[in-house]
Amino acid sequence: MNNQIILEDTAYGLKRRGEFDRALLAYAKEYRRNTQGEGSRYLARLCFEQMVDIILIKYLRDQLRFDTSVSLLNTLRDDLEQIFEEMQIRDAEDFHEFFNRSRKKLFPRGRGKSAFSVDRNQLLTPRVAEFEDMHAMVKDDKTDYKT
Amino acid sequence: MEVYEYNLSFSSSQLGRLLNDKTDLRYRLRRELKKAYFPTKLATPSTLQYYVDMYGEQVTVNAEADLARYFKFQSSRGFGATTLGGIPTVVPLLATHPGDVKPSNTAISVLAEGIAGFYMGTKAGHTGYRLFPAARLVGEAPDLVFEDGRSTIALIQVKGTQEPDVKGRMADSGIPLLQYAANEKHYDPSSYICFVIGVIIVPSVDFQLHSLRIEIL
Repeated sequence: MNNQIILEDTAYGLKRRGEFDRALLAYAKEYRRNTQGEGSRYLARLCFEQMVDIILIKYLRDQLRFDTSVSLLNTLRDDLEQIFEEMQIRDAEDFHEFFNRSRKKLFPRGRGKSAFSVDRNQLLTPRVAEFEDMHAMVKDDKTDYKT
Repeated sequence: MEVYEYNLSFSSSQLGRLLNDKTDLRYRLRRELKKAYFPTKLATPSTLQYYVDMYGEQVTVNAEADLARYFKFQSSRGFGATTLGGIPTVVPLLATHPGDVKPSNTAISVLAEGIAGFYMGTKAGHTGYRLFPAARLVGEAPDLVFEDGRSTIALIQVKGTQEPDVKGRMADSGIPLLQYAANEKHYDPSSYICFVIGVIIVPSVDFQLHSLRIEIL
């Protein structure tokens, strides 16, 4: 039973129970703890990615759809920056690095499934998702059509 | 359930060398897993589905019931209950050949993850503080990450099966987990502990948990 109570109170437990707003704040607190003093950079990155994951789930739940991948990333960045401001986390360098890493996980080489609970194609309007996948395929295509 | 615990530790430099010679690393993992330790008993949580919901990658309504039904089919084939002359006394419920009935892989996988998560919640990090879950990664290894709030990071990879042995799969999945830990330790010198957990689900849905704990010093 004790084990269960401890689990309920963690950011992880809140996220798994679907209490996304509380989980987001809990992960932000964990992020702050890990970027200060003797905290772990690995855990800070993990908390950042969990925050991204939760925000993406919230977009899906609220039926938000984006016209372009750029507008999705911009909105995501704005939402993260707002949370960081509310939590008084000032960590521009790490933010930039972690956000870039998350971007690559969300758009893995323009194709493939995102390494988050929500795939990017679920958040983009269907025509955009299809076009961007095609565009990525053309960019990666190394065939020399001249010969 | 029965819990078998195995322990190894490597220094960062030793692990680096071993990762260059994976045959030797696999041999060391297998050698440790072959050791015969006495099991300890750990009460299976009465709210097992709660832990399945908390730690499983897939969503299930009642994973335990799915496997219980599989074991029921298996035992009613007549192979367990026969007359002295070897004639089956029970009529098979579903199929006529033993290979026809398969357990649900999803049920096996989520039960193993649920049990592993529950077990990890009973463990402590380097400083003696209890570990708690930090994240479940999506579409990449490790399965689970635990921490103790005092810079101990536990990376957990889980393997579940209804077959009698899981140690070979544990040794195999230990190598990429150690590779991941070595890569991360390069950038963040926190204390990492890798747990490779193998869960064998035995008939009537009980568990045998094998935990290989590898500390990276």
